Amino acid sequence: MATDIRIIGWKSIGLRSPDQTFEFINNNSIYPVTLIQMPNGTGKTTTLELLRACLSGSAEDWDKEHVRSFRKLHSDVDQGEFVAFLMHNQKRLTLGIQFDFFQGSVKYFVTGPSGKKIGFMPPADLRAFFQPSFVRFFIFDGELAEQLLDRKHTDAEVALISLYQIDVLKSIGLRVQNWWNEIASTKSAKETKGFTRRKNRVNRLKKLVEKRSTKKKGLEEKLSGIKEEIKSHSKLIDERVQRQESEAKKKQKLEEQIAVHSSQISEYKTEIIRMIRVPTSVLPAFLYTLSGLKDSLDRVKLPETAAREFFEEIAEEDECICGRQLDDVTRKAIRDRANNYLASDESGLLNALKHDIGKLLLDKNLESSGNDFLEKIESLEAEHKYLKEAETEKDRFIQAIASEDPEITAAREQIEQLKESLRMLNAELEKYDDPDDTQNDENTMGLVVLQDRYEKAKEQLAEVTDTLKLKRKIEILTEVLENAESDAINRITKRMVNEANQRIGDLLPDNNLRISDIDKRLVLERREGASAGETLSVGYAFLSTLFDRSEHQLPFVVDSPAGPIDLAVRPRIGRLLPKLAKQVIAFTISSERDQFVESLERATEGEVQYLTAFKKGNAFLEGQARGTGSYWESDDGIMVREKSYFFSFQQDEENGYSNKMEKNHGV
Amino acid sequence: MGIATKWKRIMAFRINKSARDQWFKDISNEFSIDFDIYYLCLLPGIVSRRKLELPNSQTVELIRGFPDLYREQSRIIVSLFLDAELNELGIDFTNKGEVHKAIGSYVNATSQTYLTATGEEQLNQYAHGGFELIASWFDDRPRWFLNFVKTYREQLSKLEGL
Repeated sequence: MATDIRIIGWKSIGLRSPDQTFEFINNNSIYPVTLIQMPNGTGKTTTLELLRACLSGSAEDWDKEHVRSFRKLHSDVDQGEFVAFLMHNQKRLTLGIQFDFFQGSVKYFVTGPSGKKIGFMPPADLRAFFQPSFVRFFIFDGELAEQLLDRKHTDAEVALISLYQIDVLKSIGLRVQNWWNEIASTKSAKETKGFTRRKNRVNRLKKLVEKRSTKKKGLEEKLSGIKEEIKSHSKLIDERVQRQESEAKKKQKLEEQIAVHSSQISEYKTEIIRMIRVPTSVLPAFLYTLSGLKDSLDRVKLPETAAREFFEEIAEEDECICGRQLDDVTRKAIRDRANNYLASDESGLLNALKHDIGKLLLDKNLESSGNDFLEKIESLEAEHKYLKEAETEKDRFIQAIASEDPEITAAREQIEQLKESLRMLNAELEKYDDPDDTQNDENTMGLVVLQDRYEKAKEQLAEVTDTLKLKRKIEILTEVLENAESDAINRITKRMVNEANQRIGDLLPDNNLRISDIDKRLVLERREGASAGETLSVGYAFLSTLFDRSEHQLPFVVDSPAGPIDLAVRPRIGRLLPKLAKQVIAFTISSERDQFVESLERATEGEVQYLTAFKKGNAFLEGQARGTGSYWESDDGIMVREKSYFFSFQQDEENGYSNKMEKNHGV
Repeated sequence: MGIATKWKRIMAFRINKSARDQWFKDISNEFSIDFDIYYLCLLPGIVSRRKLELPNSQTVELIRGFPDLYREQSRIIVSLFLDAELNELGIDFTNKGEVHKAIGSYVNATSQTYLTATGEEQLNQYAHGGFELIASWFDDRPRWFLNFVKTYREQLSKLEGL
């Protein structure tokens, strides 16, 4: 957002310059140009220094001696004050410095729309402009014009960066860097430096998981092969048995018995699991627990017949259900107490719980459900016993046949051996299911444990990788910001140099003076330096271009704008000055008026305010001032707001207050 | 962060990972759903009032509400849990406000588990505590369903007498 700043006035009390109040406003309209005529030695430099300090916060760095140097001469008053009254984006803003000469200290204050605050706290959008290095550009410091051309200074670039807020790019870069530093400080030790270590662990765990999985798979395949072999030998035995019809029938009968028992076992298991899913079947004592809970809820009448929402709705009405008027107090009481009731959803659920319990308690079959469950387990156990007997009988039968058939004997022996291998293989496979998580990676066999560790290690590696990716992104962003900054400076510089040169050409058409570059300072084409007048003209041309191209509106306050400038050039400076800013305040001395003020007045769009201010001490001047009818005076100063007085005011610069006006009037 | 994301806690029954994957592995085929194992662990936890807090990394999400096979008994299970919790908290059953407040902190009619986040967390802790107890009843993990179910019933009945 563009910033618009104007100076409504300033006030100086108890300081070494006369106590004075300057106003630059008339009927809510700020004069575009104000000329303040002040003889040398009457507080011009002091006023400008105070104004710069007031708008930049620089007085906070002053030492005691410097603070005390502002004390009014021969005064025993310990306090002083300088206040600047501003218009900031159409709103009043006051910045002030309070002096404590006894302590040798200053205190800033700011009064804006949000009230008075102690300290130098200008609004956020003014901070870029209200700093010592930039205030010098619009509360113009004569020395600055020289520094703009001086290779030892970087003022020209500072002005450009501040006014175009290119430093925002640097600030973004700084914030990004700070943010990264914050992240890096929390992650550095464990996340950014451990990349290689983590990567190695991931690879190691990956190999271990693969190795163990391959081994396990091999064992499982072997297991499956052995099972097939057992099947094959069993098949051989079956075939041999089938050859003898009577034996085959007996075997079939035994197998049928085994199948019946197996099927029965399966049924019992299903039945037991179905019963397990009913808590009161597994543990009938739960019936007492549930009955007790229901009774307890009944005793406290939970859930209530009324739900929380009922009372909340009443609290919304003007009248209670009993007809009484409700006010805020009673409404609050109803709402508070409504919390003692369950919401309708919860009440419904509680009713459902009680209903289910009630239904369960009415189910007479449940009384015996615990016994049923036990009986089922006993039946299952019995069936297991029968099955075992049938299997043993079948084994004995096969053994009997085997004793007469060497092939069957061999097959049975093979089966026994294979079963032993199966047991060993199963034991071996068990290791891969070991949940032990206490050993190091190499000694851990459990695949699930290793897989878990592998996943975690991958996550940890990803954290580092993400952090590194983030670091790279920050580096790219920083580079983009740096490039954008230098590109912006280059482009703006190029345009500014062209425009400033046009203005210099207008101001000094015969001096062959041109800016070739802005490299920290203004670089003059084929010239190392310039005269005082040339320097000031170049400075104005530069500032004029700078302010003109910016969207921000700042006042321009200058001391002796035409002082060191040749008479021939003065009219051009006079024409340029009103274009520098929407508000120009210039301190002048009487010798400066010639060739300057007239052209300045013509170039000003609007009225020029003429002020003449001086220290008391010259009775004639004071009398003249009081005779104008438009003057203001304090104990030690007088100020006149009148154009004719301004133009007739003369003083001998060399002798301070011996005044030519006195001579003109024969005094 | 530019966009504030409000995470909604996902309600779920969570089982001890090693219980499901290791300890019950030889008999888990007998059960048609994993929730059976969770429920088997839950009962002794509730009866003995034994709770165990486990980090999420050691547990696994089973299901976000009661499975169909437990639909009929779901509110009974919640009632048993409520009874255990109210007793554990030493709630005065003659004090309506106290009972109401405690119940309100555990039940949520709109949740698939009928429980609030707190309620669900406590229920899971009973299941984890129950598993610890079951494991203590056996020298080694059960290889046969019959052996398991016999010991389970016997031990659970003993707990009831506590």
